[in-house]
Amino acid sequence: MSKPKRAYRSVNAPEFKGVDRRSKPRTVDRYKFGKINEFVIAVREWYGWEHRYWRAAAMIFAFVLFLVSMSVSLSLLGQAIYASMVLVLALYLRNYTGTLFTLVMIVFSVNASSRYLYWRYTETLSMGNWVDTFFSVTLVIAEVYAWLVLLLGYAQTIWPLRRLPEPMPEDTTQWPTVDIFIPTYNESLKVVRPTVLAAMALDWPREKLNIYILDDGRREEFAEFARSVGVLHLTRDNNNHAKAGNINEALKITSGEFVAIFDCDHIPARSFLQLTVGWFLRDKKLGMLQTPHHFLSPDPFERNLGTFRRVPNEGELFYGLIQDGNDLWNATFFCGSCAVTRRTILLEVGGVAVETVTEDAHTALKMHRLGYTTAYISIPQAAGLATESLSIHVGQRIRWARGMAQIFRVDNPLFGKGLSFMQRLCYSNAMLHFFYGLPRMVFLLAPLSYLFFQAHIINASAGAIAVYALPHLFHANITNSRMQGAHRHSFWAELYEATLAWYIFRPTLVALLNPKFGKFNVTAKGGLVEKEFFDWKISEPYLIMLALNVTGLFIGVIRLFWWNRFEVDTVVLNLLWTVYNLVILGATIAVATETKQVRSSHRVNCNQKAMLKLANGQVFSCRANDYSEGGLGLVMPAANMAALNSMARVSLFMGEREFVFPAKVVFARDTIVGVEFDNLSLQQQMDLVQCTLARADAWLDWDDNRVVDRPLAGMKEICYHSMKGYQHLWHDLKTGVQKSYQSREKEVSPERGLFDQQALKPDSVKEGFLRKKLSVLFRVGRRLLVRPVRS
Amino acid sequence: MTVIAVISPKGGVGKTTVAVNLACTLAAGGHPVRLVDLDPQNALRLHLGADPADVNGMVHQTLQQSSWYYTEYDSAYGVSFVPYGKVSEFERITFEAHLSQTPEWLRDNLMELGREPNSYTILDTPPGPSVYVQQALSIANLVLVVMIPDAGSYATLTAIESLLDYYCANRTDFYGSYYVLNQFDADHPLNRDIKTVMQTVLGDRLAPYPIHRDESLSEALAYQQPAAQYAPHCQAVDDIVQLTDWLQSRVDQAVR
Amino acid sequence: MKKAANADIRNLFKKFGGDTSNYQEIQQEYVVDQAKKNWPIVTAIEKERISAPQLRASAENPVARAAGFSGANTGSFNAAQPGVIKRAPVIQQTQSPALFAKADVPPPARTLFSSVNTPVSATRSLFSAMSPPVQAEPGRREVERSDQDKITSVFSRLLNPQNNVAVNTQDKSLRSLFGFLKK
Repeated sequence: MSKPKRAYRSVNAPEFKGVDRRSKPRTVDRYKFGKINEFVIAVREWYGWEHRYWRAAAMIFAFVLFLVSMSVSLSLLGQAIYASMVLVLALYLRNYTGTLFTLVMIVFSVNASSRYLYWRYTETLSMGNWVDTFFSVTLVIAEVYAWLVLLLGYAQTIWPLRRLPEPMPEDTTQWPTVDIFIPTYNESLKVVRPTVLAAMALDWPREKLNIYILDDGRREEFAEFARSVGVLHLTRDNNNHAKAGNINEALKITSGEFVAIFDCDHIPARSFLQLTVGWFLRDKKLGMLQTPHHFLSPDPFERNLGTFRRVPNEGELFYGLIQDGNDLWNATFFCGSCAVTRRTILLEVGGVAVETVTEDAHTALKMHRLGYTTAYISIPQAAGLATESLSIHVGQRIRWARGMAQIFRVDNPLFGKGLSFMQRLCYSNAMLHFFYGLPRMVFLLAPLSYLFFQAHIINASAGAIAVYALPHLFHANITNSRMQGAHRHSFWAELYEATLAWYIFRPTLVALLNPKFGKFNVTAKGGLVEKEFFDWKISEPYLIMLALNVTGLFIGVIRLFWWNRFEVDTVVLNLLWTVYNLVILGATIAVATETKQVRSSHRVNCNQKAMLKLANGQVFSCRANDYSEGGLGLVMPAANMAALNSMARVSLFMGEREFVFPAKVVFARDTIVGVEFDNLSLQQQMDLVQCTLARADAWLDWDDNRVVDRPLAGMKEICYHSMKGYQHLWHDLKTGVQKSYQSREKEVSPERGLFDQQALKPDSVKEGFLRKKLSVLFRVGRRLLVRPVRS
Repeated sequence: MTVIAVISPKGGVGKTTVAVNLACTLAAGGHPVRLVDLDPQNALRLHLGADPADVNGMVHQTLQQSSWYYTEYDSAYGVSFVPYGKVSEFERITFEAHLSQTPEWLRDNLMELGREPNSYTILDTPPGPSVYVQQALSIANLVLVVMIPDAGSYATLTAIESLLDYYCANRTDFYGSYYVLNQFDADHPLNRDIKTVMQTVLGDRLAPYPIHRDESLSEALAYQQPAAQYAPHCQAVDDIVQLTDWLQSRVDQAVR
Repeated sequence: MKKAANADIRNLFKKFGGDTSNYQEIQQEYVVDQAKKNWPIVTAIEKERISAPQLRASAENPVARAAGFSGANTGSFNAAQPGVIKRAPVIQQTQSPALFAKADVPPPARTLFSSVNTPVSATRSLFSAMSPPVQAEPGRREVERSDQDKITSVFSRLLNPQNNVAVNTQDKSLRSLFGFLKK
């Protein structure tokens, strides 16, 4: 069997950024743990593991231990002592890098969480009356879900493979032919053009590279562009099955051995193919190789919270860790773009899957079912635009969630043939993950059941809850922070999920009940938020939850001091939980406050050598600060070097090659000079893409500004955003009253830029039902209290 | 002491400018640097703010059988220089005849001025082959060939190579010969193409970054200043700094 | 010759510890090819450069070297058929250029500049590309030359110093006298 030889590393090789800050030189200790490492390696290398019975025996032994450690009942004090001992040990081990310690911490975490859940199930379910029973069971189900996802997550990412690129043979005549597919539907040419130009600049023999624009919009403008640059423009006479159908149609009339697929806004780096195709030559059963989707613009979370490049974004956990973890189990998912597929295998599974709206993941699943492999290389080799606004972002996630739920129904990875056990787990986790909607809302509202209805959802004393729940939460947090810290900061998952919970909950439920229901929505790219506004419509669910929680808080505080003052400890516990929920909800409010996009075009930050030649023949060396197709921002070595509106020539460098572009100075203040390119020829446009966005290292250092994850710091940051969110909300309500007579209008100013400048349509400013009602309420209140102020 | 000979196959390629600015950059890096002008044009001193009326130079000292000691000047920019001297045609012919009689002339004179460790001596030579180039090449540790990216320069490549080969290849104290493109302007296709071709021909013997055509360089001469003083931010200065770093790394490699 | 990869590739490979020599700068090769095709002179010189033996070989072989640079008194290099080095009896190795000037050995294998009397190499020479081969009688010292040709002649003059240089005679009269003054 020609399974690829995996690039396993030694036990202590993968380093985790999260703990570096504390790894002081400890030579003696390292020696001690080096001994342990050696012992573990010796155990691992033991020949017995190759023997089936030994393995089975070990598994059974471990499972029995797991069951025992989960179910042994201890007194409250005993549990407290046990839990604190394990916790202290975990906190100590956390200072050391190495997979061994990660594994130990996973064991601790699994144990603490399992004990908690076992205790919850056996001792705390209150079946007194139907209200108690209902809330209690709902919460336990949500907790079981969370526990399952936690365990599956550990299994999935236990040992990220971190596959390295495989070198290509030196003789280029042996290289295979590659087709580049760039499917597009309604995106403007400005979005697609850089992608096509970058694809043309790929370092691959020209005669072995064919570039196809798969235009479902059937636009003459695209055909004209394709002709002018010498790529092929393919259309079909229907739009069946959207992108998947588009690709399948193109597969019929093309013939390259490999097919690389790029979404129309994903600009590939020139090294993309040489870094990816090597594995296909080595592993003949490899059907698909995925690279990360990197985003050159901030997504709504990053933009609205101002955390771009500082805090890992929502997708990064998936591309930074989960895919690498999947790769170990040969379960890398196809993500629809920035990937290479082998034509024969793609055709064997019937092309890109059309049964679900997440055609990509389903395609990979089909490949795995036929025994083919997939691979992942975690080096960003293409970059695209992130979703423009929260509503669009939510729309995209809804599609993913619905698609995953569909796959769960129509082609459930737990059943059917061809998959290994771990592949089934990985796929299940991916799908299960998208069912977080309901559990997340349960957690956000759970304390209210007590505060409103006095339902005893956890039938235990506050002390007992503390000794079981706290270890569970602590272990889960520190272990996840260690494993995921570089790719997701602590507590941010809560924020991401809380924001999407309501929206994901409905479509997943619908798709689970009837997978055929629901339509495919295309993710819009290239819009622009013109001015700051609060998206009332999209935040309606959070506002309702917020209102409920605030009410709960009031009731709790009243109960604490004035009324109905019994079960104080339970009240306090529920109040703390409510406050936590309010923090998370406040942060989602902050996300829904769409901050203005300052630049008209997508400015991509950079720091590369540049040169400015003025009309008088003087040449200055400078640095390019940001770029777009429209222009460049330059940092000059001294102030006032270039006159406004003067013509100049700007050079950019790619290695030792220099490219010159005619430009006009459109901005000059202090050392900052903004230039706008002046009628670039086609060749110059290609050169520009090549020495900026398509450079091989264009996306390498993007995480340099990262702050290292620390659980407490993560919590602090969320609190900060939460405060900002409430501030925005208050401000908007205030101004909302003053402006309630004026309708909000947005002006659309067409400006040039790298990508389409098409602004969001005015109707995308979501007034929303709640907002209208609130405005009316405010007006009425005002009229009652003071004389109305007309502005 | 490292002796760098700056040569060029043709005139007008900015060899003296490169030599002076290279020297100033090396000096700014803390090295003692001496410039020796072997070019009858006697223009090097003007870059360093010398009095144009001063006629003194190595020719006079040599013809009077005196020492360079009396014609070495300190400039304001951290480098000392030995000018050629303002000479009549007769003096020049006599001088050159003397040089061809005395192949060790340059070596002896430099030895006499002393050899500090860590110091650089940069020899500026007249364009094309001459008795000066001959002497410079036979003692240089490192040769920097200044070219401009045009067909004429490119055509002389093989001839220069054979010249270098003749004088330098067999010497154990020779670190290597390197090329740099001056007056480069990527706007002109010919410039770009010649550079590309020269890169493939010469490989890492061509300085990775050319010196760009820059008005500031000419203006600096008119101001009788090295470019780094006159226009510190101009591209050419940046290029020369890179060139200097690159050459120093070559020297370091060879010494090691 | 394997060209070193560009800076962006070096950065990329450094990140994951790969070997940049595995990367092929294909687009750059296209640029180089195009650059070579753009200008006739480049093609012409390229041809000649390829057909010539490597520099090092001649540097290591004193015979070839001597052969390569002995232009007799013609003022320019003679050329033999490209790619062929005539093996002459090994003469004593010496560093004296004067000896080379006198060495009477067969014409060299490698040259840039056309000889006046060997039409074979003339077709491969630089000037064949630039202008028709110069017509000249054998033994003639000065030929009418183009701009490049002048360079040729000065180079060859340098390589064949007409003045015999006496290596060991050094003038140490007054200069050495002043030498001590300095110390």
